[in-house]
Amino acid sequence: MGLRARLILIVTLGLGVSLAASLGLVLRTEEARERTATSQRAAALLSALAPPMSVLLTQGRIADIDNLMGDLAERAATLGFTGIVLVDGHGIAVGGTADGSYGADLARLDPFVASAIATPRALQDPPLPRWPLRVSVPVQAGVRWATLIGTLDQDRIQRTVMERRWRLVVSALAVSAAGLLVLLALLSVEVLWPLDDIVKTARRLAGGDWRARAQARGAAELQMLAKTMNEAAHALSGTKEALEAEVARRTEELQHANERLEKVALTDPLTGLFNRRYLDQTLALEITRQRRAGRPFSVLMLDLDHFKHYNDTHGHPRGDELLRRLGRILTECLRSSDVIARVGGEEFLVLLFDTAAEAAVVTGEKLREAVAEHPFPFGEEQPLGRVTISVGVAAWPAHGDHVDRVLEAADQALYASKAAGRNSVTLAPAPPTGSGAA
Amino acid sequence: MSRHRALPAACALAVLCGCDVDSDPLAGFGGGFDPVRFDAGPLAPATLPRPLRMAVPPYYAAELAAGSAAALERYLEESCGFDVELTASAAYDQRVVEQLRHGELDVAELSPYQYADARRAKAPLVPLAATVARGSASYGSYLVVKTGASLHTIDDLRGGKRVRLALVAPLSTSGYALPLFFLLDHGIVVGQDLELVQSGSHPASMAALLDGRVDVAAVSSDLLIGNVGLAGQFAVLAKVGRMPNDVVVARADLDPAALRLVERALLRLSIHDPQARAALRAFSPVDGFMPVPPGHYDEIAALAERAAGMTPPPMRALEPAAAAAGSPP
Repeated sequence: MGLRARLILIVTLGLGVSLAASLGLVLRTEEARERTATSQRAAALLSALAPPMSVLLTQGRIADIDNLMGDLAERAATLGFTGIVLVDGHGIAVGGTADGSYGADLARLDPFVASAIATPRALQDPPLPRWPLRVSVPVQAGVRWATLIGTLDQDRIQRTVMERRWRLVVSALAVSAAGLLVLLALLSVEVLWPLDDIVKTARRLAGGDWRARAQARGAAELQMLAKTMNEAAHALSGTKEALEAEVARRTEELQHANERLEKVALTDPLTGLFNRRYLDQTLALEITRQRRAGRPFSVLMLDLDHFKHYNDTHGHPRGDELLRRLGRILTECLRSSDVIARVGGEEFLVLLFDTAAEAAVVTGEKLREAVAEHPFPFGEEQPLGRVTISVGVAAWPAHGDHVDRVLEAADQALYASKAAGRNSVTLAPAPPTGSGAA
Repeated sequence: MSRHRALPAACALAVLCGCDVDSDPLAGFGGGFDPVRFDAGPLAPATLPRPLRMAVPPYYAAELAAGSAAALERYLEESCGFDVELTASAAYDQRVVEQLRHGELDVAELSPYQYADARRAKAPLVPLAATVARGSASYGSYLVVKTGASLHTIDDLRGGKRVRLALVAPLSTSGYALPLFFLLDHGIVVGQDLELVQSGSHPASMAALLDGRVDVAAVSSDLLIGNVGLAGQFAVLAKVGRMPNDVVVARADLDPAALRLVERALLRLSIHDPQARAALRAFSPVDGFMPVPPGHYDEIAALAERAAGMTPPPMRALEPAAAAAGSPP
């Protein structure tokens, strides 16, 4: 059973029990009050008759008493009595609203009359808290002369009480129903609706909608709950965003690290140029792309002349420096789209895209001149009087359909340059027809 | 159950139970001395050296002269066991109190104002019983005018017309003290607005009013009740107030046993006893006697104190009926 149903049930039950208890109490009180009021009204009326009765009795005016009682008999029902009788100090009837009561020894016949004449105050029969049937009042004027005994119209009293009870019950039920509706309305506004909103908000948060917020309304405790939940959602949302930012930052860092690692793995640490591994991974791919596009490319194989001599003469650190300077010269002289790699100790490979063999020879010459003219330290101590390079040039598709053929041709052209005395650029000879070259 | 729980529970229980517990709702109704069930207990007999002398008010003088008091004397003698002599007081004055003080009387019925004045003078008197007359423990006093007179309200007495007002005697309660102070309290000036005339009795005041010797008369309800033939001849100018009936007193040095016997005899008198009823027949207004309730005469005593502190206003005697003169204002 849901909270709404439970609350409605509890409130209805509580109100019902309270109503029943209150009604019971009120009805009991009402009946007691009515008993008392009825007795007092009857006693007051009989007391009002006492002074004239005293005068008439003391003067022996029995006929006047009879006249008075006769008049009363006509009004007795209206006054709530079925009869009134006047008895003297010995309990003998000396007057009454009913004919035939004169002279009867009522004290002997009726214990209540015997008790009434012997009691110096008003009495009722039966005693409270039961309903009175009769009320007696002494007729006194300083001296007690007689006793008036009135018999009450029990049916009329009971009818009056029942009517009052019904009116009370109906009124109480109507008021309670209205009260219940108001209570439920208040309960909805103060508890149920705010609670629904909190539950829905919690579900949205659980579903990942971190922007969901509950409205702080209704009872103070629920407002506090909504505010606390909103604060918690706000805090969790901030933490999540911070975490996501941190993950993104670290991912980027990792990516950079990977890139750096990859670069380190594919780069020659001495010259900063690509290494052979890079060529192994990318050369075939790039060349395949060029071939697929039908665009030519050329390969320059470069080798430092007499590098061993330089190394042996000036030491490896100077040799390394020589290699670094050569790398810078190559980079400066070539296009950014060209690929330069150090593939051996003093051997370099240059891949020129969109470049045919003739243009590649020009580029090789340009490189050779740049190196030969560069003022390398101790260059004059080289066997050729300066630092030089030998270059072998081959191209696709001129020197073969496959890249290996092109590389091999370039390598052979390099050897040819070496054999020709170094410091020269040699274009690989065209392969013989039927060797597979395009 | 803890105390904290027990207290509200007890309160709730008390409320629930209390709803049905009515203190006697009829407590305010009833009362009165019951002569039928009166029992004074065993009383010692008393022997007096002479018959007990009891005085009744002056208005019973005629009944006593006619021998009508014999039945009451006989009743008292049989009840008390000693001889009783009834006499009528000569007038509403303090002579009867002096007679009690000097032992010339043993018991007397005094008007309330006589008794109050005697109390003020610290006369050694013991109240035995208050009378109940005409079915009541008290009676009223009225200012009446002759039918057709031009006086309709108290205000008509003002203006220096010297309206003639018949009062009974200075120690009459309803015929003097009560009406006089009533008029003074309403700003009526004696000597300027009023001329006071002493009639000597209530019937004399009424007679003087009807034959034109006075313009206003102060009379008791007893007079009006006892003279039904007066209807239509007079109108009530004002009701002055009500006062307790007469009181029967005994001198304080009377033999206590005799005093208790007289008291018991009086309190037993009622309409329930045929012999007692016959004894009271001569004193027709009196229905019986009741013990004097506390404070019964306190208001009259206050009136007496007030009268003692002032100079009695001048009052002339009522001229005889034959010499009637003047006309109502």
